Amino acid sequence: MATLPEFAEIVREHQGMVFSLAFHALQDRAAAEDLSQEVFLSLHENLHRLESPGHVKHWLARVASNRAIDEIRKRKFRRGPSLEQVPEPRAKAGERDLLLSRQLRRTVASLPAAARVMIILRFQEDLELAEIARVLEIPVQTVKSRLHRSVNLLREKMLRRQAPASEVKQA
Amino acid sequence: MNDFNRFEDQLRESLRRVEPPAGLEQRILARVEARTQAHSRFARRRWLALAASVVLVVSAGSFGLHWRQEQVRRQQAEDARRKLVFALQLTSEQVSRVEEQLRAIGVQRIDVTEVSQ
Repeated sequence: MATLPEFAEIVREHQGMVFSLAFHALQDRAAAEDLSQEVFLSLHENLHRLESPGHVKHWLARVASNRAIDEIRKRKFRRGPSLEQVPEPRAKAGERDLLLSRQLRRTVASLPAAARVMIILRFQEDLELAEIARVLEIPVQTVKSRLHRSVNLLREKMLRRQAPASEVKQA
Repeated sequence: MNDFNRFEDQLRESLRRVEPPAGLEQRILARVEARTQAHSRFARRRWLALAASVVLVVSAGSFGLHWRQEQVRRQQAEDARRKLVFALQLTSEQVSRVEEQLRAIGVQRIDVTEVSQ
């Protein structure tokens, strides 16, 4: 088992990934923080079972994804705050189209749980299809087809919204 | 760059990592520490309970053994008492019979003299 300073190092290194994944999936900062804390507590309990420190990121992505999917599915039955009430997170980047980003995040948040997490793993974490398949424990072909379908669906939804500031307009 | 790639770039931009809330790391570590302490308290209590159980089992075993030995000893004492009573009854009957036979042949008294070698 890692000492507390060693574990603190792991938290520092991966908290951004875990929190962002949870936030993008749930669109709720408080729930994302709760989920992140639970994921790291679980990691602390299971750290001795991991083969090497290299497996930590993969383990965190897998557990955070599964918990996010569970939470999204639970929330379907008890309505949380609407997306309009959700405050925007502080973003690192300065120059970008906030309106378009907000619309895109909302559209991503309207996807089914598993597809939503898949999109986040692909575009937030830049994971390869094989890595997403390992994290979600499904075949690569399934990831490929679902991802393709989800991106197309997102694109269609964005086009339907026809946001004036959007750059998604078809040429 | 085609529309599809541009859309993917927009997705990447919208879903870029966000800053975790300030103090998240400290809150996680505080919970880890609290849980570790709770676990060690639980482990200590478990050891205490185990030790108490061992003491209880050993005490009960020792008491049981002692009780069993006492039972055996009492049984042996009772057997010995019964044998002694039987022997005394037998002796008493024999003595009475000899007395009657002596009385029948007119012996009233027998003087027992010490025989010196």
